[in-house]
Amino acid sequence: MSIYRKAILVHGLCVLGLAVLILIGGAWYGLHRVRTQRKEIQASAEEARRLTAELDAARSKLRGRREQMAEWNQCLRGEVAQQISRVLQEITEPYREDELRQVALGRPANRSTIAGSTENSYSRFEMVFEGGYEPMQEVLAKLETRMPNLVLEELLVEPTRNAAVLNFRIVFTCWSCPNPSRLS
Amino acid sequence: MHDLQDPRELGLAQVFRQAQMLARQTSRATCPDWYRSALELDRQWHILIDGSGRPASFVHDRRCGRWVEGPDIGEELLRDRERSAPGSDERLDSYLQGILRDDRLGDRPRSLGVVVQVADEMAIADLSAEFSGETDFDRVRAALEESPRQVIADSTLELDALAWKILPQWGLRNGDRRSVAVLLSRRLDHFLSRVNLFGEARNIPVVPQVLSAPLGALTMLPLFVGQSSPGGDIVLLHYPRLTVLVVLDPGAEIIRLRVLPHRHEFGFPPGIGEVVANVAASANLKDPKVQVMGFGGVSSEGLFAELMAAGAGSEDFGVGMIEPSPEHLDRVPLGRPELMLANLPQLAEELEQASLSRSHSFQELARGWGTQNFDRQSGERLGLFPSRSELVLLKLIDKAKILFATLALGVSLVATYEGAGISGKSAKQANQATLTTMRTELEQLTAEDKQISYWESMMKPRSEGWASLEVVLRMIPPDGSILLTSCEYTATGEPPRNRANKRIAFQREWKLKGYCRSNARAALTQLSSNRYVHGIFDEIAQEYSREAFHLNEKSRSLAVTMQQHQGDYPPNGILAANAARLYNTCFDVRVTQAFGDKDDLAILISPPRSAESEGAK
Repeated sequence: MSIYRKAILVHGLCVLGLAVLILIGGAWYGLHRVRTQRKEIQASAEEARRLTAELDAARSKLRGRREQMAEWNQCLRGEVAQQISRVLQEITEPYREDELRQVALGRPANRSTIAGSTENSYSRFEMVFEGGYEPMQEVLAKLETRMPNLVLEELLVEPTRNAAVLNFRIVFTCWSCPNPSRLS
Repeated sequence: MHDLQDPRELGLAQVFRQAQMLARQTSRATCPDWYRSALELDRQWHILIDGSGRPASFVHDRRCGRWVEGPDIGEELLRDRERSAPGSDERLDSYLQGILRDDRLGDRPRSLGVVVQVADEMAIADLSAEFSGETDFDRVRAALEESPRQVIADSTLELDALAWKILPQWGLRNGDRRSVAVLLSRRLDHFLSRVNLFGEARNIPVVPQVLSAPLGALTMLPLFVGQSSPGGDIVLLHYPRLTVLVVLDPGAEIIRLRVLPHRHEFGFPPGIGEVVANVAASANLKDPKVQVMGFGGVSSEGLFAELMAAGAGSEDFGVGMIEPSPEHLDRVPLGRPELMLANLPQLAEELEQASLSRSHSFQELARGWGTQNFDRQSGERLGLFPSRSELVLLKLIDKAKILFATLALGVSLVATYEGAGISGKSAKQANQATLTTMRTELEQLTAEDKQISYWESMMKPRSEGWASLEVVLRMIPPDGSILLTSCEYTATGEPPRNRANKRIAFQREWKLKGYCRSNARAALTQLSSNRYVHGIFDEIAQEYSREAFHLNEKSRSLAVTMQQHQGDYPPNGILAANAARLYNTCFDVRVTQAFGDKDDLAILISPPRSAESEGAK
């Protein structure tokens, strides 16, 4: 091979070829990177749009429900027994003893018949009243309105020796929050 | 003028740069005439040196076919540097310039061939034993170019001062001397160098070529000689200073070549007749024809006489003159048949058809063996330059570089365009922070939604005391026909049927026990009526918007059962005995409402995971 041909091949073709390879490699890498970044940004933008839509939907879904939950939190927070005792005291106070009289309030020992097979958190309360059917119904209505987390488990109505007085034995299951700090 | 260096003394990078310079600054890559022989170019300056006086000088242009007289150059112009007259170089330059600009020959040519035909010197040298019998003449030629000392037998020859070419003797079928070396001196080197430099300085191909005039004449011999003689031919090419003797066998193949210098006072070689006879004998030619062709206006009378005296016209051999036809001589000035070489390609067909051209020797001579270039100086000078293909390759590489640069620019533009849509790393990071915040908020909202949905389900009024009492109140007629002795209500949940269930079924049950008056059977019957109880549930559902009292067939059921038997109301102090006796039918009514685990009021088994369960208290 002539020296000129050798020089041209080495410094011309080979160097040029190397430069082309570097350019192609660099260009491929650069374009790949740019396109990858662009895809990532596009994906981010797409995700942002999706999240925005989902957030709008989630906020819309919660609109009007938070207020109700805030009301429920009144009875879900705090110690339940004290709450029931206080509420009963308030709502039975207007009644005379011959109309309705709270005889007992306590916690029954056995498992709830309605909640026992679930994992929900609850308490049970047993209360005994003596009085008229209508006052009892009124008191129960008021109690269950102020404490919607009460679920009637048992109700036994029997007459006493006094024909005008009935004995009411009531057992409630009271749903409670498993972790009050997590209430919204 | 380019400052050209021997590439063998340079590094590869320097060689490359030199090649680049030549490719860019000369027309060597684009004009093929740089790499052609002088005889192939359109405009040719022919200089005939035969020693008869001043060299003959003629210029020819093949495009128009005309010949004009060339510059009157003397011997001094052809001498080497030391012996040339002052101003010779400048004069030569002006001659060359004038030839290129000569409009008598048509448009200015793009190149010029300078053909020097040497007819005043020629030598034949035998080859060494290794190459003398070699029949691969191309190999011998290559070996001679590369290592002449090894090929030429005569070691006393000063090869540096000589130029040499191989001439095969195709007529010899065996033995030695299958080819010989033809030698010319290098006295024209300075002249040839000046010609080369003239062209290089002006970037115009000016290509010199040195021919051995006798070999050129031998090449054209078929045009002048009709047929070969049955007894062979001895051709004497008669020049003013020498005679070249060529022996042809009956098939017109060259079997011998001899150069016979003249004595100064004679115009022919001494003892030519004897030489011819000896040559004929040694060549085993019984009855050869001796043919003489004179050149340069030399008179061949003396030569003829010498041949006749040696026995010409005898039975041994005949003697004749080779006279080119007027048709041929009209083509060239002064009837110089040597000048016909200027149009050798055009003569090719005529040569082929000539009788003598049937011989292999003359075919080979026409193919190039007869017009070999004895210009060693130009060959050595050409070695300093890259070949045309190498320069073309360089040009392509230059174009590739432009393409490459354009490609690089294009790629940069594309990358810039593609990258324009990207706002930068910090923006990307901001996007990620924003997305993280959004995802966190969405998670919180989702958890809150689950929690609220859970309590919405748990808080649904599915079992209320006041409503349960309302059922009893509506079931028992107020007319006193039915007395209740006990009223019991229970709500019971069913264990989940499988682990996949998220809710449990439950049921509510009213148990009413009491007594009925004997005349109130209808009331009792009504009490046990599914339809009746169903109606009460519907009333409560509508009046108090209590979804739990809606009865649908998909997930709820309502069943009423009754047991009754005869029995008196027991005395208990509540009723008087006579009144108590009226109630003589004892009953036990059960109203059972069941809710399936697919019902809206079915009880969720567990709170959402965000709320940690502490278990039932």
